[in-house]
Amino acid sequence: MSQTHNEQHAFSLPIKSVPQGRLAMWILITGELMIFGGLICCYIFNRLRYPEWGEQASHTSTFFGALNTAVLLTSSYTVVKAHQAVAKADTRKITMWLSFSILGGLLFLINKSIEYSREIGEGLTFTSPHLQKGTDVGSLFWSFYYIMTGLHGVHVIVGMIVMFVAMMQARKGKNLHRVELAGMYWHMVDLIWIFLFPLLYIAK
Amino acid sequence: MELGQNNDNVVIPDTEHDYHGHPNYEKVYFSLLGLFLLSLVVGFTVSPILAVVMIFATAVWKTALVVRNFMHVKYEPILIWVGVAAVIFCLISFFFGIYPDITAVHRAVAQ
Repeated sequence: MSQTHNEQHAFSLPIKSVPQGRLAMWILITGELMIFGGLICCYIFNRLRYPEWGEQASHTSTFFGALNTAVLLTSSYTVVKAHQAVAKADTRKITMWLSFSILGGLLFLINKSIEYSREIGEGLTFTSPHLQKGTDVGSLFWSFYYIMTGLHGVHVIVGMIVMFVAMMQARKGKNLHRVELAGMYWHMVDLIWIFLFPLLYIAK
Repeated sequence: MELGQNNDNVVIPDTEHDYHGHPNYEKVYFSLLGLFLLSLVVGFTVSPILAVVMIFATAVWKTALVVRNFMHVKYEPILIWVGVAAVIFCLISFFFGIYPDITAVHRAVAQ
């Protein structure tokens, strides 16, 4: 098949060595890292600015944060095992490992829901009046907390949907390369949590 | 015909996208768990400043393990490395560029 001038130029670039799907996923990942990186930087600024945030952070549950970290690390392992199974086209194992990863995401969301319920029940919200008295900036901490963890939770939901779609196709032996792409997205979700956990749950 | 499937509906390995080997994922996973437990222990035992330094050092180490081994960046061409490095550079620039504006301003003025 003859190539157009533009195709010839494109194929002379290093881009040629990376399949389109993977390249697109890396572009997505770098964009998401900019979003969360910016949020994390702003959180760190304010954390250094307002030492009383440490007292607010003491209300977060280290147990649930640690549990979620272990769940996400394990689900990252299971999704990479699914990717390993692709090389052998073992659709049964691909399905099994992706199912474990999806279950890990579901467990993460359940834990997060329990946490949110407890914190909102204690009156720790964006606009808690008792946190806004005078110069107290406690509610600003909770604004950052809910935005960062909530946005991360949305990405967990999207990752679960992506893995489910890849799993359903892999069961039929179709589009096996999408297992890796779904896995890359899930690893990004895990990486973000690797930084959120110490910031919000340990540095108290 | 879908990649990974021939006309007899027999699934064939997806070798076109198998551009790398597979490291010992179990070893990487248990390393990640070990670093995670270390960060937990450090958070409750050592002095606050040392704890913060060690916790973020382990977070960076865990990130490197995931990026290199699970995301297979070490097998990717230079283009991907440049993209990731560009993001890190932008974030570092943003952090140190904005830092004085946030922390050096008197609190009464900031509020």
